[in-house]
Amino acid sequence: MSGVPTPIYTMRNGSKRFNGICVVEGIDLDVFPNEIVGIAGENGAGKSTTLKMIAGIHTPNAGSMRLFGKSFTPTSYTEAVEAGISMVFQEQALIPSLAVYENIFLSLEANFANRIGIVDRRAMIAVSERHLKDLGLDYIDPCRRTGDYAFHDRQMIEIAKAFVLAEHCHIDHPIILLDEPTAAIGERQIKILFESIRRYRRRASFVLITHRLVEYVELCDRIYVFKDGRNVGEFAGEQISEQSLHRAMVGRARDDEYFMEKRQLKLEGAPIAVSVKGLSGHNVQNVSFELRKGEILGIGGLVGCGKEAVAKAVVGFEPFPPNGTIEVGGEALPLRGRGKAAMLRGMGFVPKERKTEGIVPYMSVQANMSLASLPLVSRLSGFISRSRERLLAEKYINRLRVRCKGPAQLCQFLSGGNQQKVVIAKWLARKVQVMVLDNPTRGVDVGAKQEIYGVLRDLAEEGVAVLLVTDDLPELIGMSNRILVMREGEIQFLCNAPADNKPTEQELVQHMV
Amino acid sequence: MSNTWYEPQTTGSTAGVEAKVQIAQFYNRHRPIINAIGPLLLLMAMAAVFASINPRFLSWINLFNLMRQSSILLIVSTGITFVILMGALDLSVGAIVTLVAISSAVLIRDFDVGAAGIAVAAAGIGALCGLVNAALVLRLRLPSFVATLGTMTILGGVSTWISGGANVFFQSPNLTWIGSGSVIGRIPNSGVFALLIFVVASFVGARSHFGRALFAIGGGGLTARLSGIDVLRTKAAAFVVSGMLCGVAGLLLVARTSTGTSRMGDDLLLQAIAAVVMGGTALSGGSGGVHRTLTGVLVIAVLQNGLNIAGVHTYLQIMVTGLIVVLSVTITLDRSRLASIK
Repeated sequence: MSGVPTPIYTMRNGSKRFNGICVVEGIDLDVFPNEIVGIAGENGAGKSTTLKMIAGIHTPNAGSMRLFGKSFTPTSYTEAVEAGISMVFQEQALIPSLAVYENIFLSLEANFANRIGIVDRRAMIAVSERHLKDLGLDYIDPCRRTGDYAFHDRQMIEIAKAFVLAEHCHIDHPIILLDEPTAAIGERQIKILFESIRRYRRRASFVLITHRLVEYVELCDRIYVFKDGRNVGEFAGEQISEQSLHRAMVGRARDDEYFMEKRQLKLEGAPIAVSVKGLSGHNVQNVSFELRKGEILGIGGLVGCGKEAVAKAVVGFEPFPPNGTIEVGGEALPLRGRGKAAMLRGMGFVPKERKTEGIVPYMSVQANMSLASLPLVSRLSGFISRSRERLLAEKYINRLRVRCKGPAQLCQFLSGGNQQKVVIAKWLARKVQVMVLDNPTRGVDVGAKQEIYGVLRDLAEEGVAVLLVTDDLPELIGMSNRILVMREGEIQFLCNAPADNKPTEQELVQHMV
Repeated sequence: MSNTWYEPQTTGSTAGVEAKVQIAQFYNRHRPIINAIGPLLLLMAMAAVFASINPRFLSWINLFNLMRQSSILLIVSTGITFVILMGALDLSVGAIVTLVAISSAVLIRDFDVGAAGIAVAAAGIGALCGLVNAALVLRLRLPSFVATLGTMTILGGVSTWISGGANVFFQSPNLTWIGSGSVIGRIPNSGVFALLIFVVASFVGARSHFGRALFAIGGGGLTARLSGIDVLRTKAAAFVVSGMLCGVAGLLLVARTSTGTSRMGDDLLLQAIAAVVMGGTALSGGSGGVHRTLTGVLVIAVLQNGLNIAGVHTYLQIMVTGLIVVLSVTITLDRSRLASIK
C-alpha cells in the first residue's frame, strides 16, 4: 500500500425512508483498513439505520455502496456476511441452548459434512478452537453451552464468529459492525472488550455505535456525527473530544411557532397538583419536585438517567422506585395498588411503548378510547352502551383530528401519530387532572407531533398539570415551563424556561453528561 | 459518483405473482366478511349434501336431535371461549364435565340429593375447579396450558376414584326431564338451556366491562393494566365462568343417560377448541368473540349427525370430522396474527 490509503468501504448519498418518512438522507461514509470508525448522534439521528444499511438488513432507497473496490448491493444480511461485513447485534444473535462451536458454524454445517451428510463435529470444534485461540479467547470452551457464558463472553463469541465467517468466505480483512456493544456490560468488561477491539484491528475494521460519548473518544480513529438523519460533521484524531461531539450533535434552530411557545402560561402561585418528595430506589436517588396546575414540567437526561423511573413511580407503573412519597392533591399515593389509586385521583399516563403499553392493536379506535372510562359509556351498570361509546369516540376523533376510517377501525391500521392520539384521547375521556407523558412524540410524524403539542397546550390552559419526560431536546425546551435535568438517578439541574428566555440545548446537555 | 441506484422493489413481476397478490388483497380487504360467512356457507353446503343423501336429515325429529346432541358442546365451547379470548387455554374442560357428571350421579344414587340441589352442586363443583385453575395460573404463575393440563389429569383421577372405576347408574325422573324432556313444543330442554346460556354469554362477551377487559387483556396485557383494568380478577373470573359452564354441561350430559361413565366428557375438550377456532376466535386471544363460537359448534354437530344419518362408518366419521375442522380453520384463521400463534 503506497501513498493515500483507499477506503475498503464507501457509502455515497445513502438514504432510507420508512413509509415515506425520511430517516436518513445523503449519508457519506468511508471505512479504511484497520480503522475504528464511530457514528455518533442523538436518539433517532439515524445511526442504527445506517448500520443496518451497511449490513444489508435495510436496503437503501437511494445512494451507492462499494466494498473492496466493487459495487456492493446486499439484499440480505447473509449477502453482506458473504461479502465480508458482520454485525454484532445489541440483542445477541446466538442460540443459548447450542454449544459455542455450533453457534459459530450455524448454517455453515454443510461445509463439514461428508458424502452421506454426517457432519464432522471434531473438525468444527478444531477450527473453532484455533480461532478462539488466535483471538486470545482460550478460556472459552467451544463445546460448552453458549448460554453458560456471561453476556460479555457471548459478545466475544460473536466477534470470533465474525472472523470465522470472514475466513470461510475468503475475506482477509472483514468489517465488523458493533451496535451498542457496551449497553449491557460492566466497566471491567468494557475495558476488556476495548482492548480486544484494539488488538483485532490489525485484522479487521470496526464501525461502532454507543450511547456513551466517552467511548467514542477512547476508541475511535474517526467519528461521523449524525443529526436528524444527516451527516453533520466528521472528526478525526486531535479534533475528537466529548465537547466537540456534543456541539455537533445538538444545537438546531428551535422554531417557537412549532411548540406554540406564545401559549405558554405564566404561573405565579398556581396551586400544587403533584409533589414528589425523596423518591429513591433502583437507579433513582432522592428526587423531589413539585408540579403545579397548568404547568408543563419537562424532565430530560440521557438514556438510563432514571427519568422514566420517576414517571413510572408517579403513575404507579410497576416496577418503580419504592421509597419516598408522592402526593396528589395533598394526599400521598399508596405503594400497593398505586396505579389504580393514581387513576382515581385523576392521573393519566401516555407510556413510552405505544404498541404494547398504549393501545390494544386488535381493538377498535372506539374501544381503545373508552378503555379507561368504561363506566362513563355505560347505561346499564357493567354494560357498555355502543351508542355512547361511539359518541365519545367521535368527539375525540374530531377534537384530536385522529385520521381513521371511523370509530370502528382497528387501531392496528393507524399510523404512529394517530395511535398516539388515541392513547391521549383515552385519558382525555376521563377528564384527567394530571397528565404524565413518556416520550409522547417518539416515532410520530411531524404534523401529528405539532397537533400533540397543541393538545398539551390546551390541557395546560384547562389547568391540567403536565409532566413531560422526553429524550427530544427541542421538545423539552420548547414545551416546558420548567426543566429538570437528571443524571445517574439524581436531579442535576433545574431551570425556568419562560417563553421569552428559553435555555439552549448546550446549557442543558452540559448537565446531562 | 454513484454507480448503483436502488429503487424499492419495482422489478417486473410475473402474472402468477400478480394474481396471488390480488387474491391476497381481496382476502385482506374482505376478511371480516369471509371469516363470518365462510363457516356459514360451509354449514349450508354440508346440510345440502346430507339432505340429498338422506332427506331424513332435514326432518324435525332429526333437527331436534341435532340440537340435543350439540347442546353440551355449545355450553362447554361458550365457556372456553372466555378463556381463549384473553389468550389463555383451559385444557381441563373435558375433565370437569366428567367429574361433575360422575359426582352428580353419585350424589343422586348414594345421597338422594334433589334436582335443585344437584343443579347447585354441579355449577358449584365446576366453578370450584375453575377457581383452582385460576389459582394455579395467577398465584403460582404457571402458564395456563401447563396448569390446566395438570388439573385435567388430576380431575380425571378424582372422577375415577369417586366412581370406583365402574359406571354409576341412578334414577331421577326430574333430571331425566331436564336432560331429555321438552317444555316448549318438542324443542328439547337441553337445547333451550344451551341457547339461553349462549345468548347471555354472547351479550356479556360483547357488551359487558368484563368482556371488554378480556379482549383488552388478550390483545395487550400491559395496555389493559395501564388503563386501570384489574387483570388478575378478570382472568380469575374467566376461568371460573369456564368451570361453571362445564359444570352445567356435565349435569346435562349425565341427565341424558342416567349413567355416570368415566371419561364421558373428555372428548369435549378438543371439539370445543376446534369449535372456538372455527368460529374465528384467535388462540392467541384478543380477537373473535363468544357469539362466533355457535357456527363452530354447528359445523361439528351437523357433521357428526349428518355422517351418522348418511350411514358412514364410525371410523371414517372421525377422519372426515378432522378434515373438515382443518378445512374450516383454513378459511377463518386470521393469518395476520400467526406470528403470535405459531
